Amino acid sequence: MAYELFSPWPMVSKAGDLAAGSILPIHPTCRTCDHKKCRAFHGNASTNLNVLKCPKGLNCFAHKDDKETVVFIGLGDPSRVDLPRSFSRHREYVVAPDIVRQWILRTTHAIDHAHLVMTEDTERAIQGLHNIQPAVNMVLRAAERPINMHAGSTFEQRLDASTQAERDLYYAANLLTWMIDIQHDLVRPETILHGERSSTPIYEMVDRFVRSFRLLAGPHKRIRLEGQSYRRPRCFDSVATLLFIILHNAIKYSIENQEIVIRVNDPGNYVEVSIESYGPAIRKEELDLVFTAGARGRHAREFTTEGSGRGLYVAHMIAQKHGTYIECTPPHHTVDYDGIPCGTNTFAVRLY
Amino acid sequence: MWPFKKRTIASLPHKRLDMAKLKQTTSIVVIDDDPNAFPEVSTFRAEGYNITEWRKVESLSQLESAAFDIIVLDVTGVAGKWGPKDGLEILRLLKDANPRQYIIAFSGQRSVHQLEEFWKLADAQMKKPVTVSDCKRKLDDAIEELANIEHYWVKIRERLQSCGVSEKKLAQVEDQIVRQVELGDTSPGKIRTLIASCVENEKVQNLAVNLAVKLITAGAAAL
Repeated sequence: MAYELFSPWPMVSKAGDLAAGSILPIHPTCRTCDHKKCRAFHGNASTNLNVLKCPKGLNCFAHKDDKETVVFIGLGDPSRVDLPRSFSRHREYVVAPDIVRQWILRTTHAIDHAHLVMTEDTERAIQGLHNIQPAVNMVLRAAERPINMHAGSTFEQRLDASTQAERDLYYAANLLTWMIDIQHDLVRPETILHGERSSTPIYEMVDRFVRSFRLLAGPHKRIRLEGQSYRRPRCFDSVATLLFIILHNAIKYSIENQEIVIRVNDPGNYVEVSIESYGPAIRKEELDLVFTAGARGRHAREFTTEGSGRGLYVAHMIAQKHGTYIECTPPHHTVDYDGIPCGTNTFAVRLY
Repeated sequence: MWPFKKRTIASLPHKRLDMAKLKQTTSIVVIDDDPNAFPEVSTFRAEGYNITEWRKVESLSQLESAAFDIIVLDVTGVAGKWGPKDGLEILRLLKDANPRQYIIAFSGQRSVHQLEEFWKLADAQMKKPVTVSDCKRKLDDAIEELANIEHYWVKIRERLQSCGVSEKKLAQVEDQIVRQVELGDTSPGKIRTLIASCVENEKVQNLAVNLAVKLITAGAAAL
């Protein structure tokens, strides 16, 4: 299971076997490939990041900790030569953008699924998060490069000028970054105490989350963003974790073909972000319980086995640190879906 | 009654910050051994930031003499000595030499207990991995904070006071700075002579003069 955390594509164990995860299948390229070079590749002993180009055009590189070697397949060359050139020419991609995007989404998904593993062995989880960082940095930079090729005086203008595929790739890479952030906060919640308050463009942040989450949610869960705010309340960095967790929960605990509505209201002296999703109903007697560590709503447990009950607990801690609270409103009426009462749950937070 | 009103930094007129100008005048150095950790500096330069990238500390004396307004500092592999957490040692050293030096702690090891001091000593924190947008926001916040000219005066005052400079001398230095701001005279000549008459320590002299020139430049631009 620890492998699955960082190996959305097949990885190579010490025995040299391709290991397909229970959640994530083998890379389609590797499924038909009989080349064993990558499987035996453990990298150079003097460094923990090594690169090998596979005959099918995928790159692999190895990460080692004191216990295992994990080999990633399906990533570009971190030497900064291979990827930018291929991206800039837009001719032959060493790694096609859709594969990279898939890699990112799968990694994100895998990281999300690994809460329990990580909380069991915190030190190793932290080391694991640290080990994957060079790969994530590389993915981020690779996703930014094609955008920088476009005309525009600022990065935002170039982002607007880029193609849909490039934007998707960029937002997917952003999602991966945030997912790593969240894991740090979930594994060791005291990290949310770091830093000072700074002016934070809440609407801009929510907008970026929404764009990224649309990729994760897929075509059957529509996310709508309403309202506008130019206010920049003075918040800690961890406010991103708070909003991310509530939004992520809305996607995780919502049924398909129902809309998730995010509203950003600015009545004058604060910014309010509220998230409405249709899913397993939170019962009135559970309103406080869902914010305690390790607790999950009864219907949420029936809906999915995923989740460790730490997300809302950490979000609640962050809200308290900001001198505010998360307001949870249960549905007024429910309808049974597969025997689970579902309705519109609303989470709202005000930032001053 | 004394006919002249005492001139202070606080009495200088403040103007709305011109971010484009501030980006050019605020020097930033990013020190990180991983070439992929920080977004490409060319992206920032294209937007007017005055930014330099170091793979490791190239000149400690430059950092100590406040040659850069903002230092973005990684925690590991930036000095090649002082053990694995050499970034923390450099941070301690710089904060000791110049407590008001603006340093942004830049690391991915934020949940490591041993590094809590690194996060706490720094003026701001930037977590790895970092996106271009988040990075720009952090740098802009730091630039805006530094553009506050009183911030520079607090730094100069603190350093001179720590060397035993009297209040009378401090008032003279402040007056000279205000005079130069009003005249738009950014040359370090007069202020250097005055500061040299207050303190003997050459390191403190250089630091105070550097900061004073920065203050005068920022103040004159705001007039």
